[in-house]
Order: sequence, then structure tokens, then C-alpha cells
Amino acid sequence: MAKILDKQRYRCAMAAMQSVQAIDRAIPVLHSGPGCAQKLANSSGSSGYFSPNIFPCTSINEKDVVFGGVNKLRTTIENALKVIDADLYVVMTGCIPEIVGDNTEEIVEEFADAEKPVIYASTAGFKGNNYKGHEQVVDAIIEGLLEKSDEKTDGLVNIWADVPYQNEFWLGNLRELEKLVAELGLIPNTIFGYGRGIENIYKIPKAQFNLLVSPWVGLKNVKKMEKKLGIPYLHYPTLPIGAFETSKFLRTVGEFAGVDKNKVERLIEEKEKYYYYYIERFADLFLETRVMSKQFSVVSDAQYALGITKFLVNDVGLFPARQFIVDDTPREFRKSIKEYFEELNYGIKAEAVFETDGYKIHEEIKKHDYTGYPLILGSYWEKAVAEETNGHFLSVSWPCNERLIMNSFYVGYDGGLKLIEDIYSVAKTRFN
Amino acid sequence: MSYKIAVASSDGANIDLTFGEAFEFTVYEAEGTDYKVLEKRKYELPDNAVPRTNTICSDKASCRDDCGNGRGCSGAVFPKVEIISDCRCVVCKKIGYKVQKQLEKLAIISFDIDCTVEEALNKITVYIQKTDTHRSLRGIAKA
Amino acid sequence: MAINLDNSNIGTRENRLGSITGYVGSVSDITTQSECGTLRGCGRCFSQSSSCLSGCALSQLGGIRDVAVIHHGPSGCSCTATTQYQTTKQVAKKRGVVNNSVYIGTDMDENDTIFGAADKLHDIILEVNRRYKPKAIFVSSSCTSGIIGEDIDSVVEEVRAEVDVPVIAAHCEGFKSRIWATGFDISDHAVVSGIVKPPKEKRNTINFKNFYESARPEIIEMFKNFDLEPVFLYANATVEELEHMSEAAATTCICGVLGNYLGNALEEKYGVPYIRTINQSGIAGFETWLREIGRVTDRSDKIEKYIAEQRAIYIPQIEEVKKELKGLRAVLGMGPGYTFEVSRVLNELGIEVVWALAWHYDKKYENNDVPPTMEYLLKNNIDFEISVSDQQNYEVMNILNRFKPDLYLSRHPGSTVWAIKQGVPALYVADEYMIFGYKHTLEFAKTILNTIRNRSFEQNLAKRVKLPYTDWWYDQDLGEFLQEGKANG
Repeated sequence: MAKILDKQRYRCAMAAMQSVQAIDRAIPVLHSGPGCAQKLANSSGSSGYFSPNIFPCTSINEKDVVFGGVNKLRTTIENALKVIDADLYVVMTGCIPEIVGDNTEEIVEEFADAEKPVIYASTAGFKGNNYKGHEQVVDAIIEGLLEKSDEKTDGLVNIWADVPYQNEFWLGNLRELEKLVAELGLIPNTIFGYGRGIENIYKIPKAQFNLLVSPWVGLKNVKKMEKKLGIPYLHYPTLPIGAFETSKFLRTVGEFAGVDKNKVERLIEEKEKYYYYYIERFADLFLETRVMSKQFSVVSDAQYALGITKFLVNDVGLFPARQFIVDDTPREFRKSIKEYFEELNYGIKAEAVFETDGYKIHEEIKKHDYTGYPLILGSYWEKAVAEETNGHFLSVSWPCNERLIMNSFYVGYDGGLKLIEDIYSVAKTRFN
Repeated sequence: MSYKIAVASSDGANIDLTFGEAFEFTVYEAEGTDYKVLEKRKYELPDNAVPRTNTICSDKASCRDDCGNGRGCSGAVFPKVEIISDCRCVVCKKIGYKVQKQLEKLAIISFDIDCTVEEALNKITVYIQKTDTHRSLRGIAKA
Repeated sequence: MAINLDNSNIGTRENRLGSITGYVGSVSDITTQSECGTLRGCGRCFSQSSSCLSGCALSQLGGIRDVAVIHHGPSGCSCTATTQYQTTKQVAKKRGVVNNSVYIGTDMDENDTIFGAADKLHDIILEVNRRYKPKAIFVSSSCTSGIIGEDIDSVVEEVRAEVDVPVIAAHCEGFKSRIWATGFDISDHAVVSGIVKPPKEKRNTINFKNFYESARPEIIEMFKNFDLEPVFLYANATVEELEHMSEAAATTCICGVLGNYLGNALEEKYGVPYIRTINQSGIAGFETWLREIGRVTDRSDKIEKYIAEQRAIYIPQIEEVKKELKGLRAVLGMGPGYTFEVSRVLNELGIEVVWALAWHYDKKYENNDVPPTMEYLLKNNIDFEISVSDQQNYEVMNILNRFKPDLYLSRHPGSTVWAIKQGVPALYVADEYMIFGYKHTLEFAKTILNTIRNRSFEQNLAKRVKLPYTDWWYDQDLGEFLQEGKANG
């Protein structure tokens, strides 16, 4: 049902064209109006080998609506194969063809024997937001490119985590997760970002298991891969930020993968020693900064809201006020996600609220007594409410706007330290 | 409310003429999804027109070539467009942009499509009826 | 004349002005052909993504102070809200004002496309009014709302009875037009039909349509010499200022495409003269523009005095820099409002334009004259190859590869990157005042010099990146994908 999108936090399913863009040498071919790509492309990091003004597009007009756009789509795909130098072409449908009834799937099937793979993802804007769209794209890859493999590579782990171009720290986070998994002695496999791509897509069926690091996005993909490709999955709902969660992450993954327990413990010990060296050195700053908040709210998607909440409570020792999840989480996941927020140290329970109306969120924040300066981590929309409530504000979520993020990350031990740096860099701008 | 559709067809069965090739338009009257032939309208070449040799009319003074659109290159409406200026849309195999723009200045929708007359008119009348009555265009491309 | 303010849905640009996309030829062809109306454009069998007209329309309206823009469509359509918000806040801060405008979406989903969402839209408009008390509310359709037959006009009509401020419909059903600049016309139409009030008196103001008023202080200073007060629109303009546009001494615009509809509408409906000249870039442009303002507002003496003073200061300096620019070759890619103007300026500076890509091309402006720049170029024998390209990247790349110019100038986001990757220095002529008047023309000339002198960035990048096109494409003729081929084909 249509609802008010006041201070919006996501884009439509078609924005998952950026999930395709995130795969090296893969290009989306759009069956849509001429403007979708430029509008939906998050301007941060959207240039590159392919940028939105390179994406082939049928640029649907009135004639295509009345008489159908399939012929135009056919020639667009044909010519895209000739003109653009790519290794994977993902045809994506926008709103209009899906309503007027173009049979896109049929046209794409005509290219089954083309020189390069051409697959189809149904991503009409009204079908949902780009979290769902991302799942559609991964689904299309599974359906269109992958077959079950009898040959398995020992220790190979496919990692699925942040949504590219939607979770601002997606690339750095993904790389750090790979590093952690590699330190366990496993072989990480991902398909997004620099130096990964199509070759890695074809490795997917050979993996020992899928590792999903996310509260809900991607769950349906790993379940499908279990069915179609026979690959088991480990669902780790919390993005591991900081020592507490990362150590837990390493133990859980290690156990699932059958890594020697001692090896895992030794690794953790070493990592924690490193992490707490920094914490100890700056402990006085943490304890004696007058303005530091006691309570915080995170306004973000489930991924970052959960990960950051757990970090700030279990690592940094802050107390959670309400946490706002703004990704329009599908109803079937809400109960379990709420429960994740209640599994914190010392019996502390954070209250997670699912809300997409930014106005209502800000009213809630303004009403709450944070017993000191609120610490608000959210998106650029929260800058205003932080000013009104005299809070510390850190932009971590889409849209990030006044911040440039290229390879920064918050995952892991180093990520936790970075998040502390960023939070305290804000706090330090005030004396009292 | 009824409206008119001009069609460029040599045999009444297929949309087989470009705008430039058509010297006669079959004008249909449509109401809802019903349509019938209203009349045929001929376009007469001016007496002193010569067959076209090139399509760049770079010399205004000598623009008496038959560029398929008749004379009137002063920015005013082309005579061939004039004869169908009361129509809501025009359907030809191909329509040059110069003519398309002239048509659209008069709020005439132009369709350049290669199919049978029946198919074109069926689809167009359905489209117009739905847009006029604010009905959804769901499934309109499936025929 | 085609302006009809009673109908909320204007004819699209292609309708009204005889625009074309997809043309290949030369300036003299395109001008003479447009004078006698025989221009041929082409359909395309391969195109790349370009722009959405709602982006133009609604970002213009959203820049007005303290209004609400409600974009009825799926969440993708209204995601412009995020950059809109940032830009308006930063632009307002620069001027020292506060802009509380909001841009709201309606998150249409699959159910809505089946059952319609007009009722929800109605409620959302009322809720937005309650929350923010805007001075005006603009309600826009989208491709999706259009295709399911949602009647925005009747929703707006109903809401008007329940709300005290103007509620105005804007029609952004994108599939109905191929050239995105229509967006500016949509926003102009909405403002003129819904906000501008009939004149009560005549004022010494000039309606000054631009993008982000970066040169505001200096323009205000300059106009003081002529006893005129510019009112900038739409960024930071208040609804009240816009109501009084009908009382201005004249309307002018920083770009012909941007201001076309507004200028003509105000002239036709309220007799406010519209300054129709080549734009204010470069020397000839600036002087012609000022002189026309002088003529229309009866202040020619003051204008001439000012011109003489400024020339004495700047012309010698510009001549100096020109010496070093001689012999340079450039390619341009921008909207027609700019491509031909900038070509003119480059010519003034002694730079040869080897190719210009206009994103679309208006054969005639609203009053049926050929655009002034085209006439100027013809009269002054400035000819070069042009294509009308609708922001198609593959054409730009092909041309750059062929001509290997010294410089590529462009105005649309994402385009300069591609020139640099081919090792061609590129200049992003983003700000509309970059070439405004003598001072900025001089700065522009110096910027060009600096751009081509230090080629480190693009050389470093070009060495390391691969371009996304196949060799096959680079060997093709430019007209390959235009169904009707070249002008004389």
C-alpha cells in the first residue's frame, strides 16, 4: 500500500542495477524509461568501467507502450553485445514493461546461445525496494548461470553481506570479512567489488558453504542455493563490529566450518590483545570525555542498526534507546530481528522499531530523554534532528551525503576501532 | 467522444506507406474501441513541384522540391499535415521527424509502425480510450 | 502560440518546439534546415540511459523556499529527495536563509498498481500539509502512476477544497517524451498557472531564471548601476516573490532552454518582455544581452556606460590569454542552451570547435524564431560538425576517439569522466555562471589554460583504465545506430 516516504532511506528494486554494476565487467541492460539509471545511481562511486550513462536502455516511449517494446529490447540487447565490452549482461525490467505486459523473459531466452551470458532479473520499481531488488539480482545469477557441482573445493566459503551501493561501507566491509575468514584458514569467495567478478560467480557451486552475514537480506538466496546447488549455509545475523562480536563471529564460523578449536582461540586471543591495546591506551579519553553520551539511537537498515547496537552496548558499554529500522523489513523477519536486539550483555534489551516514516522517527527521538547528549548514528536526514536535540551525529547510512566513503569499513577489530574514532571525533568538537 | 485517426495505407489492410510516400490518407472515425472509415483525403502536389533529388533544402529560394511534405517551408504548417490537422493521431510506416514535430505542435500523436491496419487501430483505440478514462494500461502490450 | 495555462499537462518539448534527437550534420545544415523546417531526426535502435524529466522539473520546484513536492510513484522516483535536500540546504546556507522545503514520495507498490492509490495520495497530501505547513504543494505523477491511469488532476482538485495553500499538479509521465529538458517546462507551467498572480503594479525587478545563483552578489551589484533589482529563481525564491513575477520589467534567463517556457508565458499572459538574445557568456553574449535589457527597460545609456567601463578593464586581459589558446581544438557535449553558446565563446577565444554534441535541439523557440545563437553562428560564419545526441555516451566516445581534441567540455554529470579516460583533458562547465560576463570569461579562459597545462590526472588514469566499448564500435560510422542515417542519407 502506498505510504508516505518522508526522508526516504531506500530506492526501488531497479536500483539493484548497482548490484550488477558492483560485479566487475557485468552490465545491466535496462528495459525501462531513459531516466531510471541516472536517478537511481547513488552518485558515490558510481563511475567506473561502466557508469550509469553507459548502461544500454530501451528508453521506452509512447509507441513502445501501445505496441510493446519487445522488438526494441531485442535490438538493444543485440547491439549491447556488439558495442559494449562486458562479460555478463543482466537485463532488468522497470515499471512500464511489467505493467503493459512485455514478455521480457522470452526475449532474453533468445540470447541463450549468445557469445556472452545474458540473464534476466525482474526488478520493477513497484515490486519493492532495492534490498529486495538485490535479492532478485542474486537470484537471477543463481537461476541463469549456476548449476550444481559435484566437485567441491575444501574450505571455500561464499560470503554474502552488505548490499552494494546501498550500505555505504559495503566494499570495505566485504573485504574485511574475507580477511577474517581467511585468517581462519578458509578460502573466502565473493563476487562484488574490485578484482572479483564473473570468475568468482562460477566458483559459487563449488563452495563448502554459504556464509550470510545479514539479518534478512540474502536469506532467500542462500536458501535457494541450498536447494538448487546443494550448498549448506550459515546464517550469522549480526555484522561483526568490534572485538566482542568479531570474536563470537570467528568462533561460530570456525565451528561450522570444522576449523580446529585451538587454532580459532589462538587467533582470537591475538586479535583481542591487539584491539585492547588501543582501547587501553585511550581508556582515559573514553571515560573522561564529559560530553560523551550514555544513550544512543541508530537509524538505519537492519544490518547496520543491529551491528552497531551490539557494538555500542557489548563493546563500548553504552545504553540503547530506541533503534529504528528503516529498510521496510518484510513482516516474516520482524519477530526474529526484534529478538536479536534483545540478546545483549547484562540482560539489556534494545527496543527495535520498524519505521519508514522519517518524520515519526524524528518525533520519537525528540521526545526521548537520552540523559545527556544523544548519540545518533543514521543518515544525512538525522543531521537536523541531532542539531535540534543537541546530539552527537555520525552519518553511517544511506544517504550519507556530506561524507565520502571509499574503502573504509566498520567490520572486525579494526572496523570497531574506526567506528570509535569516528564517534569520538564528533564528541571531541565539544567541551561541555 | 469521437475522434479521427489518419492512416497511410496503399491497400487498406497494411500500414505500408511512409508519410512522405502517402498521397492519400484514409481517415477513420473512432469512438471507444469502435472505428469505421470516414473518408479518404487526397494530398495534391503543387503544380510546379519537381521530383525530389535531395533532401537538404539548404536554399530557401529554390525550395519547390517535392520533399514529400509539400511546400510551406516558412515555418507554417505543411499542407500535407494541414489536411489531417483535425485528427487525433496519424499512423504510417515511417514518419520523418520534421513532420512528427509539425504533428505534435497540433497535439497529434504519431505512430510509426509496421503492421496491419486492423492491429494498429485496435491497439490505438484501446490505448486512447484507457488514457482518456484514466484506466490502467495493464497488459496493453500483450495482444 | 502553444501556451495553454488551463491545462495542467503541457505539450512536451518535442511537441511544442519541434525538437529533435539523433541528428548528424553541421551547423549550417541544422540552421538552414531549421529555418525552413526540414530538419530530419532519427529514431534509434540502440540507446543508453540518459535522464529523467522529473529530475529537472521537481528539483527546480523543490528549490523554492518552504514548499512541498509530493512525487506519486514507487520509491525510486522520489529518491531525488536525498540530493535535493542536501543541495537546497547548502544553497540556502550560502545565502544566509533557511529553506524548509520537503520532497516526499508515496512508495507505490504492486497492490497500488492493481487497485490504484488515489485515496492514499489524497491522505498523504493532507498529512504533508499538516506536518510542514508549506506555502505551496506540488503533486507530481510518475511513469507508473501514469500507466495505471491514476488521475492526479482530480486528486489535486479535491484536495484544494481542504487546504489553504496552492496545490498544483505537475505531469511527469516520462514515457510520453524523449527529451528530458521538458522538465523545466513542467516546473514553469506549474508556477505560472498555479502561483503567479495578475500584476497590481509595475516594478523595477527582473525575473532572473538560473540554477543555483552562485554569482548572485555580483549580479545584484551590477544591476544597481541600471536601477534594476534581479529576483533569482527558483532556488531560494519565496512563493511570494514568484507571485509578483507578472509585475517585473523583464524576464531573462541564464540558458535559453531553461527559461523558454517561463519567459514566453509571462510575456504572453502578462506582457512582461522576455529577453531573447544569445546568452550572457563571452563578450559578444554579455554585451548583446545587456543591450537588449537596456532597450526593453529603457535604460540604454546606463548600460552603454557600464559596458565601456568594463571593456577597458577586461578586454586587454582577455586578449593576453587568447594568445596562448590559439590553435586549440575542442569538442563539446551539453544541452543546446549551452552547446552553441559555449561554441560561440570558444570561437571568440580563438579555440576551434571540431565537433559539438547538443543533447537535443530546439528547432524553434516558442515564438517561432530560430534560436538566436544559431542565427549568430550562421551570420558570423562559424561552422562546425554537430550531432544531436540525447546524451548517448557511445557517440561521445566515438567522436573523441576520432578527433582526439585538446579539450572536451561538458555540462552533465558523469560525462567528463569518459573524455579523461581517453586521455582528453575535460572541463566540467557545471556552474551556469562560469562564463558569465567579462570577468568570468577571463576566468574561463585561464581555467582552460590550466586544464590543458597540467594533464597529470587524466594521463595517469587513462594509462590504467580500460574503456567499455568494443573495438568494433570504434570502427563504426557515427550514424550506425541512427535508423535514418545522416541528413542527406
